[in-house]
Amino acid sequence: MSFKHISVFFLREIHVFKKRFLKTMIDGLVVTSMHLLSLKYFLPAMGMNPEWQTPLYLGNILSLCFVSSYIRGIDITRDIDGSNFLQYQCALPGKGLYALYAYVFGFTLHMVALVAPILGFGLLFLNGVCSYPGSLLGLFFMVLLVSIFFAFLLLTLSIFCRPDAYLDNVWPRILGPLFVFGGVFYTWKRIALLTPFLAKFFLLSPVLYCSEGLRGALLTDADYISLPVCITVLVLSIMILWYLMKRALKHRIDYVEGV
Amino acid sequence: MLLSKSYRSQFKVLFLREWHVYKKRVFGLLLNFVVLQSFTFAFVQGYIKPLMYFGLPIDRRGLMVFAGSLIFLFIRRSFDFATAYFNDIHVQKHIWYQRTAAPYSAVYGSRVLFSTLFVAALIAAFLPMPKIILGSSFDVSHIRWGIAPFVTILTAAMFTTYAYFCFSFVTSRESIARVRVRLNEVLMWMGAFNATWFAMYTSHRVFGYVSLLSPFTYATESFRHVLYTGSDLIPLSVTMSAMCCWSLAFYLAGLWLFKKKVVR
Repeated sequence: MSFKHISVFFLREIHVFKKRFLKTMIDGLVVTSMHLLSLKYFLPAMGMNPEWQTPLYLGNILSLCFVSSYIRGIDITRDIDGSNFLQYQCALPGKGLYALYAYVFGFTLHMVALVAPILGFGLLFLNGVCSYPGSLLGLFFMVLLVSIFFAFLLLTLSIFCRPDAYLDNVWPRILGPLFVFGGVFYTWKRIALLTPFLAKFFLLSPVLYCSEGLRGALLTDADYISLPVCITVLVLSIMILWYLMKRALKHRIDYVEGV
Repeated sequence: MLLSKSYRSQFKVLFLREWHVYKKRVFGLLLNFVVLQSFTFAFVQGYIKPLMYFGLPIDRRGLMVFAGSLIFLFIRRSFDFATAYFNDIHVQKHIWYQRTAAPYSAVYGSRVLFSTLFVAALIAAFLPMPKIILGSSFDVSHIRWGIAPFVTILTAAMFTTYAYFCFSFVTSRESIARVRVRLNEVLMWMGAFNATWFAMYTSHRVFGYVSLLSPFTYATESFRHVLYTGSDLIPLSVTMSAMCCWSLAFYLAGLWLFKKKVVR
């Protein structure tokens, strides 16, 4: 398969991205604005220490990744049972896996383009223009890695589950626990100080390394799980998901007969 | 007409049909919602958030955050039922058949009533779970058991009528997503979701006034009265009256939109 053929898959993803991006960005801004108001004004009025605003915001940004990739996952699982477009792509001459690479690329592009500007907007809103001990480049790298992780996670789930199972079970049984134990609403070391036993349990969630990695990249390493650990765990998780995704594809799709 | 025997029997048939459809899903819903989701929800909202925000798992402020977050469950469940209603109008179209056999108010009313009771029952099954899961870390010594059922049913009624109203005017799946994000999220966060109305008011008066416009505020404040009442909350009589008014307004508006859709 030539580069020209492969690039078609990727160009299609860019086309989809362009079509959907503006609406998704508005949705993301609406949700994030509400989170920001709560963190900056409402919770401090309840008695929360303002020093937690930025770390909690960096965790909260993951809810965008969850929701955005979950919604795209619905399209994919419905496509496999309905319009069979993925089957068609995978049955084209050459390596069908290129279609999957393109889907991962599309997911990632969508999330990076969504999360990066919203993250910047939120940080400006919370702290104005100020310097952080970490680096913005490091933060961008973590956003990219987190986006790739979510792309693999939701793509695997959407290929593995049929639409009914995806809609009924994926959130309460898989994403819900990952979300809860993923450090979205807390920083791991603070919980470890207060309840050490539970904190060890949280280490099982790969999402924890996403939230802590984002915090570690922008703020200091000392208060969060160290960045190299987060990166290593995320890369390993992505490799495992990649393997599971290939298996799920083989299991669910028949290139010739359809579903 | 509403009190006639034939109307009541039609209403009953329609109501029982809803139960027949949903009883197959009861086990899955109980497993997903009452067992699995209650664990994660209770853990985060009842333990982790208070610990993170205030440094203590047992704290009135923690209960205030927990009570506010309960409305998230109402939104999720009532929108699930309303989505089925939307799919019926636009995809399966059973509702059009029902309309030929029964008055539109019976068709719409039976669904809203069934959904309200089902949502209230699910939430009622869910409510003891935080205490079971969190044990002594969850303070129930100030709960007002007497008003809890009324608040649960009235809140379920308000959210169900709201969800049906929303799904009576949306016409596409894409619009559903827009309603969920751009309307629900704003109403929820401005509806004293994470902080009491008084805290919002003290942070800035504008937030306090805007919050009074959100119907969700009255639900969150009502649940706060149930868990741990206090003078810093909007009075219960006001919140309950407001929820009754909002429920009636959403119901009548939804019914009117439904009538416009089906009487052609």
